[in-house]
Amino acid sequence: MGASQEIIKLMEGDEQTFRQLVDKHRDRVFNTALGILQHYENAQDVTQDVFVEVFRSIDRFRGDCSISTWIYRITVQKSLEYIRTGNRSKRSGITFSLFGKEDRVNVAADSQFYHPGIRLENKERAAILFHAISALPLNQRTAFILHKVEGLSHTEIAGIMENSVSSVESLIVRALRKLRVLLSDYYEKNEC
Amino acid sequence: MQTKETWIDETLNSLDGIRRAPADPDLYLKVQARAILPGKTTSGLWRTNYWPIAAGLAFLITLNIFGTLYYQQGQTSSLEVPTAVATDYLSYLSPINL
Repeated sequence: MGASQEIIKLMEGDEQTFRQLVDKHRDRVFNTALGILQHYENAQDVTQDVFVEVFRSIDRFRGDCSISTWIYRITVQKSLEYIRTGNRSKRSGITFSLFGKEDRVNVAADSQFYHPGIRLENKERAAILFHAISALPLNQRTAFILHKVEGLSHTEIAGIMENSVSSVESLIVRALRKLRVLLSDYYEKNEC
Repeated sequence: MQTKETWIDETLNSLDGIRRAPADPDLYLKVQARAILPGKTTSGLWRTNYWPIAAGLAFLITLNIFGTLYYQQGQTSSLEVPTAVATDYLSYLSPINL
């Protein structure tokens, strides 16, 4: 089935096509939300919200990007909304100040987040990195997660974040710079 | 001992080779319950059940209106008979009383 045919069927409310769309994109949506929110149950809630939104607002899909980019866009919006509204379910644990007060930006993550897809030997390091990521400003966090976790190119991220490629590059460079500072502080405090 | 810079680089690279975590296996059922089924119930009711019910109700209302009108007409005509009898009776009696 072609992309346009798929969209027409979705607009007609074809349940089978919608099911195929959910099956195709569910893991991407879940992992993007998981990377941004760093909380398993919250990411599951957001994944549901994303597909409900896709089903309800398919009429508003303008076709100026691929359906995949559009779904990623909704995922990012919903995840950030979840953080901004202060975690409706209040499932997140209280975060301890690992990296100092000034870098704590609306931390939505658990104090220790272990991503299930991380290799065992990297588990502890990745948990430290994820905690540092949770202290990044939201736009830097989003760009970094889409790049490092989802493996998307700068152009793809620019499409999702509705930004220019140079802005995305700048966000990722700034995120990396900040992460280096945060990790350096952590290293000195904990004498790794 | 590992230098700080090496440790930072290794930590930054700790996401390399990350695999996707599987989403909730019941995701579709949950989305279906929230997005598809509520809409389907409404539209289904509208498409299949609403029109026969509406037609039936309209028929019953019409039947009631006609029934009421017919009954009222019947009441009026049946009331006219005793009134007429009474009038006739009074007019019959009135010369005697006079």
